[in-house]
Amino acid sequence: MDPTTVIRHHSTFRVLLQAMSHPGRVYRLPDVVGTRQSAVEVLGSLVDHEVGVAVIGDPELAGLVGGRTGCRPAAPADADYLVIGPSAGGDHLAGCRRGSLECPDRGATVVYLVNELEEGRGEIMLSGPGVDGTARLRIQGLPIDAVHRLMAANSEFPLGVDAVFVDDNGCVACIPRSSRIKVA
Amino acid sequence: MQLHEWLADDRRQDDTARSSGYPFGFMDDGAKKEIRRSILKAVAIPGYQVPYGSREMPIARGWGTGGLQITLALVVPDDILKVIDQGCDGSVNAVNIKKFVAKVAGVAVTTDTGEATIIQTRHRIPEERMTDRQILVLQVPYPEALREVEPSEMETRRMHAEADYSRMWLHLYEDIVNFGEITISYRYPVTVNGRYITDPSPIPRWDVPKLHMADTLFLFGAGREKRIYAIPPHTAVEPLEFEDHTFRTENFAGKTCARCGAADTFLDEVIDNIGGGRSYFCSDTGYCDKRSVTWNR
Repeated sequence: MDPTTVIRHHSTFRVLLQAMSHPGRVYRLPDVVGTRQSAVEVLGSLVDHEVGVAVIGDPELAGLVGGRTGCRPAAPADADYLVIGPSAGGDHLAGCRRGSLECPDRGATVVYLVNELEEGRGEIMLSGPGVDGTARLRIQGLPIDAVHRLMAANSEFPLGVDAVFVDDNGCVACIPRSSRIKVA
Repeated sequence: MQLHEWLADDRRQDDTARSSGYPFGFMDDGAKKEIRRSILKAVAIPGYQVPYGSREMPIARGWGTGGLQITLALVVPDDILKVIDQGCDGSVNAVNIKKFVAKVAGVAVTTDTGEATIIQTRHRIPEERMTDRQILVLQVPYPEALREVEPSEMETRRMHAEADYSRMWLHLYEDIVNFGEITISYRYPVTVNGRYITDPSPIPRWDVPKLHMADTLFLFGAGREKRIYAIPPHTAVEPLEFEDHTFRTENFAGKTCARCGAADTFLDEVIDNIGGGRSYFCSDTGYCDKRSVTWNR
């Protein structure tokens, strides 16, 4: 892999790590614009041929992700990483991996493509590890049903999925399974 | 060197010219990606030990390879790195790790806690309060807190799964019955986020309260035992204690650092071989240096 890409992956992961350790805060990914490119960057820093990825509702993105990372296409129920496109309707978290009590880390990571992320306001209220008090997050382009499904998937800690949101402006925010979610 | 300078540089020349022939961050891409996936899961499940495929490093297992692999997987060219070994910036192990990372990632190094963006440490947490822009990477020899009471990994995994910690509590109780207090001096077990009993690495009791509701992300890497775990910022970390035997830290009442005069730091006791006299020095040398400058002014 060329050195520029290697260093960009380091920078991208660093931002992602900040976002995962501060649920609800919105961070700017280095050097990207557009939801698809953001998703590809995030996955590029994390996945390779060892990882099963299910891209739902965006065939073009599926091609991009597969081409850039060499990841294995997987059914949603087996996937380590789920990527949920903006136009994907329905409940995709129902059958996905939530880990076991012995190995909760086997739960999936879900990457949502959304329109815009905004911190400090909005109807999603987060508390728990990584949050000083409560944090508010507005996710434009994500139906409120999807948030309720995420709450249901994460209702039995340590089982659950960890959510990563990327938006059109190249920003990222996370809701790990340890977060308590309330919808105002 | 700043990120944009690196990227501009990369367009001009191949990376071998700059990082002494090593790829940026030393490890191969597959290794780094696996470590990153494990780190994210570790952060999302505070206190749970995520297994990972620990790689061979140019230092022996047990000498900080777990911490080193975490540092290398997340380092960026703009980072300022500090490495300490039992509080000391100048120990051979710390200096070698620092030189190595500086060579393969081109980062600047420092001994100033406030200035560093990543601090890799063995067995201490710096005295100065760290911020949310910093990451503390701890080297861990024995990641399993329950190993003291149960030798089987399958069994400790079950105990964690069911939050069945009665044997750990019994272990502490027996200590009190035998000795009148809990005799664990370092590796004091803690409960993270009200769920997992976790080994905070061999930090002294003095440092345990610093993990509670901190502003900083703590990442723990055990290279030999192949585990990564994390304590995110603003996470409840409670040392195990009984109502009638509460947790307490080391007591340095009446003792001060002979070098900087500090009365509020973790002190090392140094015995003079000839005279037999005892003196005390800050274990955190970076903090002591900072204080000495002001104290002697």
